[in-house]
Amino acid sequence: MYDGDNMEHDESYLNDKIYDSSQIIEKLSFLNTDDGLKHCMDDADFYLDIVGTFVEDNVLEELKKYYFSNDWDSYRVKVHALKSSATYIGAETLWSKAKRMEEAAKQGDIEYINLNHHQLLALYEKVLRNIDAVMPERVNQEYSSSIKKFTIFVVDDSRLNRQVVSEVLSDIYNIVEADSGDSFFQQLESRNAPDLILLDVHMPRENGHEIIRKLKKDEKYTHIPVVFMTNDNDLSTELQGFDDGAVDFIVKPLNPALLRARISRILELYYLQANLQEEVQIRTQDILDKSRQMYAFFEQLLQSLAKTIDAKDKYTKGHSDRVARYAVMLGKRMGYNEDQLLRIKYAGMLHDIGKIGIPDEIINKPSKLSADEFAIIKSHSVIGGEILKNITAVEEIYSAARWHHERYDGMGYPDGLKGQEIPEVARVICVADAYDAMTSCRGYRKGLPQDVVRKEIADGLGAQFDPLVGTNMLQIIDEDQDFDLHD
Amino acid sequence: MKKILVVDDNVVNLKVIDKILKSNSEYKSVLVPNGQKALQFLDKTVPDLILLDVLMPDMDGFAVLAEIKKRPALAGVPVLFLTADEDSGLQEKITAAGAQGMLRKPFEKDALLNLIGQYLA
Repeated sequence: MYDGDNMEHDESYLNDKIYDSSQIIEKLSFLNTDDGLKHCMDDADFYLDIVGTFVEDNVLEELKKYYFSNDWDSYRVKVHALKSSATYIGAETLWSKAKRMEEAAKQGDIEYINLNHHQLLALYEKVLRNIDAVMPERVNQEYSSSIKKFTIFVVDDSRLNRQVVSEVLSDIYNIVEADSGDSFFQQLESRNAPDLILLDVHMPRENGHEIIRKLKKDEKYTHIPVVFMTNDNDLSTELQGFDDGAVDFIVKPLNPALLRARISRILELYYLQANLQEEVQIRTQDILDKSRQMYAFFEQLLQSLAKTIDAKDKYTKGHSDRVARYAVMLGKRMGYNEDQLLRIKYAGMLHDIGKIGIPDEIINKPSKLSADEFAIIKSHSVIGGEILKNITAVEEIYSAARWHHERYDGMGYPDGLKGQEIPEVARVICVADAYDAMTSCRGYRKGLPQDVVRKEIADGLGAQFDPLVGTNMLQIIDEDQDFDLHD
Repeated sequence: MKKILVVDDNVVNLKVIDKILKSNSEYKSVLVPNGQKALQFLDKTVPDLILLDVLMPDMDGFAVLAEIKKRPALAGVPVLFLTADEDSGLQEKITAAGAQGMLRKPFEKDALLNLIGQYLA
């Protein structure tokens, strides 16, 4: 009708009369057809064309899409179009719901939309389905392929009962029949899963209870609503049925109006639930993706910061990374959980950040430092604490930076803390830091051999080092047969 | 023949308007579903009247009207808004934007024909 340059109006679509309009309009009883006809200038064929267009040109997917992307401007445009179209076909309930949603979208009342979106969709879908069922041979059916008929499986040994169900429901639903449990399961395997199962309780051989229990064992089928048909008003049968997973009961002989109403209601609720589940899934995935992204960004930022620290001191390339690695090894031995291991890793990576505040000529001085210069070097732990004190989410980061030069015997700096007064993370980082300092090449010496380092640590237990942490370090050294601990 | 351009994102609306216009054999309607297509058409053809929907994706009725106002060739073409919006200040907004008139949806067949008739005598 309006593609590219060929925008001149094609008149043919209104002339394709393919149905007996009055009969079809009668079947559209779920709409206010009088009202719809009035809006369509009392032209029955035109009215049906509009009803068909309402299905073919539906905005169901767009509403879902804009809802998920929180695009309320576009949502408003689509729900407005829905309201407008609903007027012309006489879908009153849908019209008033769409109208309220449009109002909410205009006011920015997102809470109202969140509360009502799924009900609107369920109602919209129901109207679309009902129309589709009544007007199966519309002109442009390919547009509405997303609106498929629901399939209902009727399992009953009585042919008469199956016939009644089929007569009452087959105009709106696809009906599949089975006269026994065997036939039911056979057919179930060979076709798409039905949307609802109507199950007779009393059957020879396998009865309804046995069939539903068998069905619910298969994960493929647990979500399909099962409705029992029973001819006795027996409380224990009903309770047993609910226990087995039935969603409802219908008493035989079947009342056609009640059967239709029940089935329609159950399917509507079922679709509402399915839509909600889909939303929870999409939103959860969204949050997971975002948090993964944030986590990756955070780790990368941390790596960059650690590199910045190490770049300051030309003798300590990779130091922060290695201290973090040794600290994690120690943590594992000391029984830390995943969260604690992460925290000590971050603490290790940033423990020397205070070096950024120390003049380059002092840090990189190849000869022996004067007492004044050494005092300046020592201030890096206080400076580090100051830099990191705002990071309260992982307080270990601050503790490690400020106190990793404290000694177990109280002779360390900057605060002269002693024993357990020193936060555990600082005692661990202290050992990891000393090990890396001794095994790495420094400006004035080569890295010390492993056995010398081992002796230094062993001698320092209870003096420089926490005996427990130090002992764990000794074990790590002893188990490092390949001497690849320090790469 | 009077050529009337109808711009509306909703096919149902387009069909209804088309149906109403067809009742007068003097009118020939051109239906387009959005502002971009409307402007494409207007680059080649000058219609006798334009019917514009307000709320449309991407380019709303006011944006389309603003583009129309930039084209000297369209200076004499009356523009009427058709809207289901219940905003009470809409009439002033529409007049200020330079449209000739408006009609609220859903409208009666005669209401639309009468309004159009005022501009296509």
